Amino acid sequence: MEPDRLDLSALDPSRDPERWERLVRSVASRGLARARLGGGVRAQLVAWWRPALALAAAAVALAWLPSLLPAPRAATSVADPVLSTTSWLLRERSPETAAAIASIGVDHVSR
Amino acid sequence: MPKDDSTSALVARARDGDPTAAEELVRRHLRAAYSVALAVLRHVEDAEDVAQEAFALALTRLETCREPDRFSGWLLRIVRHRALNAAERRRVRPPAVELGAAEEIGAPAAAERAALRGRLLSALAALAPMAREVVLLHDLEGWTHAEIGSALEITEVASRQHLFQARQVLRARLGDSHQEALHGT
Repeated sequence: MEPDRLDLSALDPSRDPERWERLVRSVASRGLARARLGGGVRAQLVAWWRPALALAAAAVALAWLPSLLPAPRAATSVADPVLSTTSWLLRERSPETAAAIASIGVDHVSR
Repeated sequence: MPKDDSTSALVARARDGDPTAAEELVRRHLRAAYSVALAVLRHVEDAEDVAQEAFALALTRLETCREPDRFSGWLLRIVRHRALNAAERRRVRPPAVELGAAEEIGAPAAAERAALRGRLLSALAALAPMAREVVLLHDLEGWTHAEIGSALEITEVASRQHLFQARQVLRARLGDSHQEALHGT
């Protein structure tokens, strides 16, 4: 059982019921109006966020795509050794040193 | 089928923009919001303003209320925060000046009420903030210790202790001349 209760009704803001009810409605409508406004902004952000994200992803993919494709092989300066040798034989000419090295490749020479 | 009028259901409907639900939430909890604001500010008009403003703000942030069944605790935290900010802003204006607001002076009964309000606020000023919240929520708003404990995140025992101590201080402050302010319920 509760002991004595202090009478704090002098501090009660709802002692005028009509005024209090007006206040209640005012607070509720103010809050909802602000929520609608805030919700509208949020909805706009959400509506724009997804297409913007998709666009950004597409741009990144386009920029990245070339690096994913196999790079075209650089034209080699190494001639086909069979063709070169055949050519030298047909022309009955001994190749110059540089041409011989080029035909068999520098790697083979260094080894 | 009757509508679910539990607090969590009202929160869900108000979140969807239902004005009736929002009004009912305000109707149920605005006095508690005012009590907490009054406990911080010790000024009736400022407390009303802060309670209204904080409640309107809370309605715009309902989606952040993760536990709708504990709406009151969530709301009162917002109110307390706003009230403390308001108190900080008006720090240069001592609350004692505001005690016994004389706006109702004019009719003898109104003047008497204003004077009584002043004495009550003056006595409440002697309490610790938590004790003020407890006594206002219990004796003005009519909350149980369980409700107070849940909303203020204290135990029921602590709520009872705060109330007991608060009443002792208030009775001492209000004195024999103020016995009309006390009555058994």
